[in-house]
Amino acid sequence: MTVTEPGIVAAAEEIVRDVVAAVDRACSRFRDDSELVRLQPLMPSGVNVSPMFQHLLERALDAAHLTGGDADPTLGAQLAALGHGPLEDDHAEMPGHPGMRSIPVPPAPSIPAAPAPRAPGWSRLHLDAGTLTLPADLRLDLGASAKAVAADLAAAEVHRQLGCGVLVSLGGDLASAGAGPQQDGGPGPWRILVQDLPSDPAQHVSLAPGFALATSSTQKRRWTHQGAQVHHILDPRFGLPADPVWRSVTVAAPSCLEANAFSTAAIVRGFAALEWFRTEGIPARLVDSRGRVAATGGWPAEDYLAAGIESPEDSMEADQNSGCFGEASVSEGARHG
Amino acid sequence: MGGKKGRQEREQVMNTRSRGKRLATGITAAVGVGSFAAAGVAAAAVYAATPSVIARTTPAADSSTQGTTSKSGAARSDDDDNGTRQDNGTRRSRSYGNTSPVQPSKGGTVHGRSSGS
Repeated sequence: MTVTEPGIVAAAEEIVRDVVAAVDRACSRFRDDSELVRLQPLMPSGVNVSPMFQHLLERALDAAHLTGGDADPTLGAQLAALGHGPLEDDHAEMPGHPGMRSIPVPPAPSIPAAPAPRAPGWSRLHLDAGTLTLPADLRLDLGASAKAVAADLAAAEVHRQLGCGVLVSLGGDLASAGAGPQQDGGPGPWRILVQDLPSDPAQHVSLAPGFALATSSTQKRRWTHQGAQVHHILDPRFGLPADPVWRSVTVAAPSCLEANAFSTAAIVRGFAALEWFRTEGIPARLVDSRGRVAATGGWPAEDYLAAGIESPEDSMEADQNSGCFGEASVSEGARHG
Repeated sequence: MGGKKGRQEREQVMNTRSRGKRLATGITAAVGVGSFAAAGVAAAAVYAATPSVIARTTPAADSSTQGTTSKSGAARSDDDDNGTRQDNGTRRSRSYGNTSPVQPSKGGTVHGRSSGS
């Protein structure tokens, strides 16, 4: 968290801590006393939820609507089955991956069956006047959207209570509120380093005050399940990790929730996200599996020439012919370690 | 959140948020709010603005900004202004009033990092 005024950083920190704690108590899948875990068994018959839980769930549904269901808050069971969830019984935590374990399942058939499409879970969820009803076969996971909402809430609350400009970062999702930092005698933009892993292409950008950034990655939260590498962003159609077409996708939007919804959905949509973002004018930076960078919606492009890197256009000919990159600007990302 | 009405509401919110409070002082402290770790939102680590944290920061290149930046940010500052090659062509950008959410950075203090979690 960064604030623009001296002497209030401790107060701002306390506000951020309070917001994060409130969100955690409401919707963590990783603590037995969270509202989500306590109420999950009661959800099939309808249960009253707290205002904070209701807010988080409504925002998660906003994200689902915004992305046509690509950001689905009802994938908790699928994430747990893949080993991303709280420890249970004798399932050992995976070294180096806190909170993750691989669940024993029956051996796979010699010829794997094609995954069956899954009915959109979020559209089967009912929230009416604080009463939540969720079919018994669904489990909530508000992780991605809740983190973004927490960043939005924390930034707004710091600005409301203290009057300063603030940039809040929660796990790489950034939300800002109030004026930006002083620059040339007046408030300027926030300066942000956009980079997923240290070996990934890096870019410095200026973020207008009041806007937010979110990055979704298929590289950072990975673990081995049933002998295969998996990641935590699931395709709601199948309840399985989305094809890692993109190493990471970063989106700018007026709220962190919106940025997070789009970046998550882009991972799910794969190559189709490029055309989607270009059509919608969504400011985004997409890094593909080879480290090439595409920019959409006015996102400033990197200059591979300035970086002394050979033009990637020839190597991308095949992708362009297949419609992968369309008219979006593309450059080979300079790697920095 | 979608639709024209939603966009207008967001823009109104944006205008309100952007007005903010003009401050005479610059960035004075940076506090790292750590990731939510593997637990999604389960464990937020907030690092206090202790001298040890401040000591790990680098003075801003822009003397008008009393800022701090992380070492990693400063070390990567050779990326600054790499990116102006852009084919605007027929691409469109969302309209957020007169504000462009993201612009090329002119360098200086790094205030935050966006990465996956």
